[in-house]
Amino acid sequence: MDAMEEIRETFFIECEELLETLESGLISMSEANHDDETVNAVFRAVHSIKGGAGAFGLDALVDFSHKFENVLDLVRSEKLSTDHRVMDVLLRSGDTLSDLVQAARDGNDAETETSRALIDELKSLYAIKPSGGENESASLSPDLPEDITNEAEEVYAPQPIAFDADDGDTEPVYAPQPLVFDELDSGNCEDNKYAIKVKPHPELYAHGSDLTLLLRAVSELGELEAKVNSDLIPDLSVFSLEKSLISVEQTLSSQEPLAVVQEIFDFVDTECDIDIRGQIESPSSTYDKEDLSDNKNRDVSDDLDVKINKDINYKVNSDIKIKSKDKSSPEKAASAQAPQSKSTVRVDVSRVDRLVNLVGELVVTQAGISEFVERAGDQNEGGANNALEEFKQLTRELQESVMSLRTQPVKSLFQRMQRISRESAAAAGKTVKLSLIGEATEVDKTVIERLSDPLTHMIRNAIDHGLESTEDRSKAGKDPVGVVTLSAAHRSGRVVIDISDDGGGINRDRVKAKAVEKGLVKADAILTNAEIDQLLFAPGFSTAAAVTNLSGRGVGMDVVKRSIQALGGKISISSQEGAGTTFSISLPLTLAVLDGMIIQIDQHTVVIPLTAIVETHKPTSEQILEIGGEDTVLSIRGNLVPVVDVGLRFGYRRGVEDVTKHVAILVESEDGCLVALIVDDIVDQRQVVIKGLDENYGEVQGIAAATILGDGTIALILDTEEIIGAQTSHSLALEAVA
Amino acid sequence: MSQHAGKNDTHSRKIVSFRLGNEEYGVDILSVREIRGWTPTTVLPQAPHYVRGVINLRGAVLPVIDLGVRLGMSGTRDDSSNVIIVIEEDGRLIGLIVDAVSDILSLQEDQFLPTPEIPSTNIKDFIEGVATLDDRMIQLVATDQILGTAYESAA
Repeated sequence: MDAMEEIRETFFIECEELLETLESGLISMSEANHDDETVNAVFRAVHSIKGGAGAFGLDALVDFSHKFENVLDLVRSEKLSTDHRVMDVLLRSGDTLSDLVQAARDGNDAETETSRALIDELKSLYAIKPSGGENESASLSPDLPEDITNEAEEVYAPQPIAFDADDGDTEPVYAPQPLVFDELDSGNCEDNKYAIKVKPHPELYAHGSDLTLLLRAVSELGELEAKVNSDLIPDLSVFSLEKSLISVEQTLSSQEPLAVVQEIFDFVDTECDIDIRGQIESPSSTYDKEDLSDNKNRDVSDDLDVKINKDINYKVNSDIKIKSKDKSSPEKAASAQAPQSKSTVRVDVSRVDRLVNLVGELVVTQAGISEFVERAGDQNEGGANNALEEFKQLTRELQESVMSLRTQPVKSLFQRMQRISRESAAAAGKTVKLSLIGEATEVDKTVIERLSDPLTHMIRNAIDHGLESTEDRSKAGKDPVGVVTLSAAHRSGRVVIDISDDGGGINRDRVKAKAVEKGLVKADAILTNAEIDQLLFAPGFSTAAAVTNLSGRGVGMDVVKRSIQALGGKISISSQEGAGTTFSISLPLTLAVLDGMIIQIDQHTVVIPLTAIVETHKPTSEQILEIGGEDTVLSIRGNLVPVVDVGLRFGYRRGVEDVTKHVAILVESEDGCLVALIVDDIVDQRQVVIKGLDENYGEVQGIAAATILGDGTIALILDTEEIIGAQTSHSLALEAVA
Repeated sequence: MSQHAGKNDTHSRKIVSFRLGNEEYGVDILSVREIRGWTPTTVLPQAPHYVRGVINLRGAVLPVIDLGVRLGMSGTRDDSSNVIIVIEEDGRLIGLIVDAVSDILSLQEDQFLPTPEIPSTNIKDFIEGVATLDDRMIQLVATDQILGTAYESAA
């Protein structure tokens, strides 16, 4: 690649970022949820693209961005209001600009029909400009809700817009959001205020806890103001070191939900009086630890009870102000605000991967050293153990930060969905609002890249099939504007992405009828709701009455399910008649590690992916049935599950004689087939780093990959899909007998 | 030997020689990455009989081949005196279990003889030549065929 090519490539990479800024800015503007800086950022993005395009002689791109920029300039100088019609043109211009950039990148810089048509529309907007000044432009379409802004000066400006009493309320339009976020356990909203009171008992110190550490942990969640109450400290002559005399009152403003704040005190809640109050209006989120615990020290804390108020000024004896660390956790980044450019370094992914590998090594080596020290016995009065413990902490922290290098916020992915939603809505003739939650949630880069197609499918499906037509919605007494919500959140070490619509829900009768028609199920089959829902994922299934050009080609959901599973994820559906459908995708944080159950077979240690495991079971002799003299099945709750002796299958040993002396692990394949794996013992459950076998060797049937255990030896990770596939293909499908 | 004095090292090859049973073998030093002590292997299911399993080579999964078995001899025993020669072949790392590493030899081109015509296919496939040094005979292992079918099935 010559120098010019390289610069050109850099320009297009920058364009991607600029288009992202543009998209998010325009969305904020259309939701009337922006300030001047948003408009400026949008303007700058288009201007930068124009500048770069000029340098490379991309005339069509320059021409379009120039017209676009002109209109944005009018908006910026408040000569053009951002009403519904204007925003529609601007949003479509944003999409077209993105198309033109893509075309230019492919070496095809030319006007398109769409771009020419949009240029005309942009010109017509330019023509409306300020004949009668601000007031007139603002009144272009005074009835539309888009005119409501949360900016005080606009509300009070002498504009001929009739606001309803409700609209005039100083309450910002997006006020209810924090509660929604809170329920989803995702931050990404305005700061919550907490009043926290801690009065340590002497035991707290006796057990080696330290109040300062607790305070520090709290301060990491956000802005913390702490006040130490030293009133109880007596004259030095009667001072006793054994007593606990101070208490601390803290006010914390943090984006974290209440549970996170409570978690800090989890270990010490019997050793001190704690009172944490959230200031959110919702009564359910108020948490009074003291009400739950014994009341013996109630009078003390009553003295300390302070009215919780945002503006209250604490009288302080000694004031500790702890400035919180700038912690760039995913929950922290504000999304409602104007997009801000971050300072970044571009690094080749392969370098990051190398770092990830090396750190993985470090973790294994560290575990190895720990084992040696443990075996050798500590000769240095705990010195070696302490140092090792610290080393362990550091490596863990290092590993986490290195892993986070590979992660990106889902924001860019989610924003691409805005466009999909706009286009699908236009094609389906429905009015749709796509609301995004938890855009700052970080996920592995590869996962993000490979989620794009499945999400596109699902958003289209939600709009095309999920939401009813505008007339039907009105008839059902619903808001004619359909809402599709795309949310992401971290939940117990996984990323959960929900796609929900507020449409009619799954019409299960129709789904079943369709499945019968397609021969997927028998007409007389009795299916539970969940089973019917699962039919949506059956290959070749489609319920759309007519094949639309959006979706309904019948290749949707089974492909989606397969690509999610290829990422180590799971997808589930919940639906309520008349209220909507939610698809929930749960993904591992990274593809480099896997949650596994460590099991023992003879001398061999093997890992079974936790995602495949349904349950573990100690079989009794009545449950083991022989079929045809060779195959064994396990009868569990009326189901007959084929038994696979892993030791025999892998040639580790001859078949087990008495299954009841072993453990059965029930694993499920992607298509719902169950198999019971016979193993000797369950050792542990933990995260393992995945190491490919095919790099130096090749594929092994029944083995998905390998991992390195703490003692440096290699354990194999079972390919449950393959094992179940091989088993079920040679045994007949067993129907339940009970 | 005097007539080769002028050519000197231009046609010499360096060979890592090792013992396997009572015989001496060698591999080109350029393909040798490292030599390490014996480590117990993790057995791979459904692997060819000459694949002893895999070991952890600083985070990489290294397949280990019992070279003796591969050459049609009885296998090496699990013995801590055995060593593993790690070779690189076509971008892959492979470990070879041998009894002991003996020497690094610098051999001239004319010390190499082609593999003699013998019926054993194993020898023809895996031995690329024989070098003579004084009264020693060193069989040169052709590393490209070593991983064999396991390698092919993955390629």
